Amino acid sequence: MHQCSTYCFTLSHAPTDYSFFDIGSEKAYLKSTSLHFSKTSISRVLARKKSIKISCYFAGDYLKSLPADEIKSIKKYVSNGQIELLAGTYHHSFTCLLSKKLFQEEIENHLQLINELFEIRPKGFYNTISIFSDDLVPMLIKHKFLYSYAPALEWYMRGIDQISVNSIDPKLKLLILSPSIDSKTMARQFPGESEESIQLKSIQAQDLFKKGKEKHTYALPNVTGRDASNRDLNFYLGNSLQKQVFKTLNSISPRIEKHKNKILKQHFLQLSTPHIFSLLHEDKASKLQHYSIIMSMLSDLELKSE
Amino acid sequence: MQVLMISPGMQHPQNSGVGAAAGNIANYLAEICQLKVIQSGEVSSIHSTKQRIFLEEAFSVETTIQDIVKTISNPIQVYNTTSLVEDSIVISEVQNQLASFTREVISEVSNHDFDVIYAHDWISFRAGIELKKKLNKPLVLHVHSLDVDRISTTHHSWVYEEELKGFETADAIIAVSNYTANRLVRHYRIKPEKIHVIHNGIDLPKTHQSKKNRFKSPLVVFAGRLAEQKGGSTFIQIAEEILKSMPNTRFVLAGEGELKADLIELVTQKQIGHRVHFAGHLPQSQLWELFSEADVFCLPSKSEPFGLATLEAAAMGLPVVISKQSGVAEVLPEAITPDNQDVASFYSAILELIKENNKAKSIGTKNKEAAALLTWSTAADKVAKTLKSVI
Repeated sequence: MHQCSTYCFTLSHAPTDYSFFDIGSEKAYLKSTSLHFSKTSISRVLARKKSIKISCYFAGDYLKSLPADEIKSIKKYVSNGQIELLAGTYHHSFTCLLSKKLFQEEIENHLQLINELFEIRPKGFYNTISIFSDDLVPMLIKHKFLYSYAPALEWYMRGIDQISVNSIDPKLKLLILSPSIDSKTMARQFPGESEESIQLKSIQAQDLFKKGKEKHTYALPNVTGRDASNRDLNFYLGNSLQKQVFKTLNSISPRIEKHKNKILKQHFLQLSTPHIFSLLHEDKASKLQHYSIIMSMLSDLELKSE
Repeated sequence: MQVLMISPGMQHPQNSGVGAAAGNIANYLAEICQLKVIQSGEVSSIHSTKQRIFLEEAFSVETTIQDIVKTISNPIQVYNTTSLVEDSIVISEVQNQLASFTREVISEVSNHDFDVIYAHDWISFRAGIELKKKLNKPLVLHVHSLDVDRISTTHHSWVYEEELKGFETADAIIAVSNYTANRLVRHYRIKPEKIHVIHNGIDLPKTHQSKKNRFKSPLVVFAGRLAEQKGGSTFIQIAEEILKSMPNTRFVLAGEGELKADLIELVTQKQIGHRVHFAGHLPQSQLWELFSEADVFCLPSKSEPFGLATLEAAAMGLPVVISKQSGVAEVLPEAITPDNQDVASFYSAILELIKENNKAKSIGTKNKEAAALLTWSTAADKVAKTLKSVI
């Protein structure tokens, strides 16, 4: 049985000890780290097994953080067809929930970077934690994407042997992902997983798209999303601390949209990542500390975007 | 005069008021009498860090012993007298710590000579009583806060009993305000002639980093332990009301405490978290910085024996809106003092100060002048006089 494996490569952001007294200063918000592509087990398996094929979303800021030889290595697999590149947002963030204008900019910036580095225009779209709703369809069709991920559909269609369905507009197909081990169709993988767990009979999202049956048109009026660890939007945005941070980001977003300062925009987008929101889901002491730090950063952003 | 002072220890988030007061008084007392200090501290660092720190001070600590202040990290647990098994275990643990602390004090001071015992707040009262009985020396107790300030239950806890024993045994009691003196009479039935009121003091920093308001919007500051006594949740209610008419106003809570998580939850539930900052426990220099940036200081305490943070804010020229249940109001002629429950009066007073800059300045200046008269040196002179009076 073939399995479609999708890998997501992003930066990890750890907050600095930013305090109330740092608001208005130039102190950095985050320390960003990344797991280099060459250090991952999937990179070693790709080198060893030429038959294995995977789909990858590389966030723009992740690609920018890599040295030239890493890009060269990815480029090799893109050229020989082992890696299918997926488009997404430049930063691995919740932009689509915050601002349509920023979301569009993020898609365009990511497409531009992919084109600059790999001279390719991806056909598939991979949103942060595979967020999808009908609202996104016009934007994705506008950018000529043929398919996008909608993992929440798997729950509704459990037991039905289908790998893709039409969205509300038949021009965009939805790919159903299942993070469960016994999935017959697709799974999202972790770049850091062990070599043994890598599915050697792997195919790509574009193959699924071609094979997919299109009997149904499926509407997703509500925003849904689920990450590779089966954590849904509620995990990231469900508690009162997360809601307050999200609400504050939302209130700042109109100003960020209009602002010409690219650094400010970058900070906003980095603070909108699932990783930041997951910090507010930790044990009580830790999440309260992170909350105070993140809210100080948002006050700084608010101040600087005036 | 040789004085043995049993101190609650270094300033710490759990004892910031009493820790600061006892430390400052000791500094000046050491200049006018022979002072030996025994205090709570970290046992492991007696011979290193602590000694080195204190050598730079005017007084030297005779010894540091078991760190009882940090052991009692959650004051609520100390006072909880419900019959739950877990609480009983906590209470008996704290009582064991107190017994052990008392034994160590007595053992440490047996070889020293002194004329009078001078003890601060309930943690050191039992040791003071035991020493008085054992050595027949006069005992003076300095009251920075009372059990009846810290808890609002109708029944008396074992800490109250500890305090009562101390007050009955002491030769003199120093209260930090008339407010506290009245509570000693009312709640402990202590004779007024035994009580000496000595207000706390303040030493303004020679230099401090002054900060302009970064937000271009009003800034209202609360400084105190995040505990029920200090009225943190009332402050949040006041903030919510003010934000309805002045949505850009910012609020800062400086301090730590057992209610921090609840207060953060409260502001997020009220959806005002983007305007309410939790700055944590601040070192003195940052507190001065915060006061210099703020427009109004607000502390709606349920019961505040004195309120050092209020005095410090006033000394920086900040207009202060504090509850009428605050001792510091006695020394600040222009303090605005609604009842601690009266959110509407707090709200309107703060709003008026924000809108009427001249009024705020005038109030701030008058309070600043009054605060300048209160120094730790003067407070220490009065303490020395009281100590002499019982020898």
